[in-house]
Amino acid sequence: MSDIVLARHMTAEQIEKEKIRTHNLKFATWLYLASEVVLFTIMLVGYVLFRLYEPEIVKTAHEDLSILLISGNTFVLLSSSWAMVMGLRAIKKDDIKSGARWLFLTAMLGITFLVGQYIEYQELAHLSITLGFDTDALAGWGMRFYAPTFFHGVHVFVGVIWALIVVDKTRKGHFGRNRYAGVEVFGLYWHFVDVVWILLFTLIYLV
Amino acid sequence: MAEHNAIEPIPHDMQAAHKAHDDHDVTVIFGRTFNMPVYTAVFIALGILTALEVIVAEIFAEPAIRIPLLLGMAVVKAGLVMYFYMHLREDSRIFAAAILIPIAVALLAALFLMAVPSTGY
Repeated sequence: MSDIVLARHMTAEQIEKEKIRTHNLKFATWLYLASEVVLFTIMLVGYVLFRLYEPEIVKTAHEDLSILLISGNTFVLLSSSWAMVMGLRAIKKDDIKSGARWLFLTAMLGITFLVGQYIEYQELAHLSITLGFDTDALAGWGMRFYAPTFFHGVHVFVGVIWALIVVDKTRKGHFGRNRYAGVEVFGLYWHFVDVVWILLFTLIYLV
Repeated sequence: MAEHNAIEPIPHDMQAAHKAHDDHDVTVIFGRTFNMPVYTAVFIALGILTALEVIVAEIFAEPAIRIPLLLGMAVVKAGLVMYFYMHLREDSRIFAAAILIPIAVALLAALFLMAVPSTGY
């Protein structure tokens, strides 16, 4: 029996099995996210220590950052998280068409965020803020800035690809009221990426 | 064999339970009811907190005020996303433990590193 048929017409026994499968998948995803916490913490702590020891350099660097652009980008990512959870909500209600639209919006907002990050990097490159460690003092800041933000950007990029795959599967009827583990697991990843950005935005751009 | 593979409709009581679980078309905040899903209310709160963060960062030059305020708001925002959007409020507590324990360990390690003087001991 294909996934598509299962998603729309499931027996009580199949629903129970699917619940257990969903629980296990979600637990595995949380454990994966825990490993991501370690990776992002290393980069964040590196930045925070630089911020503590070199406050003047960070102050100079902050003058070059476009808070307006980044605030807008932050709002875009928060919106994408909202679109994601609304998509899951629609699928849980068996409103597949609406669910696919919300998830597509999630992907589009993710792309918008990446474009904003590209524009920001372009601006910083014109101000000679590079990845180098030893060329000048500001370059030391550059490495500590680009490492976490780019690593996060890569996560957004992967998320966009994943979102488009989920949209395609949703349109083909793979998900429904009783079968949405694939959407929920993607949602956990996407919201985690949002949480990481919330912390990056505060620690790197505002503090 | 045919019986085992038969597709049966979902019992009505299960449908009703599922619907009740997912329907959050109204949100109650401090006793007031708003006609919007809880997810939208959280999104509005996140937007307001983000705007407040930018305002605080621009207004308060004194780090002793600015930094705790900003960190507090960031923690609240991250908590809202994890609690509502990542469904920690309704899911198994083991999920919360799986993410909160590494966060606590990472935080402790970070605080330890920050306590080390830049010149070393």
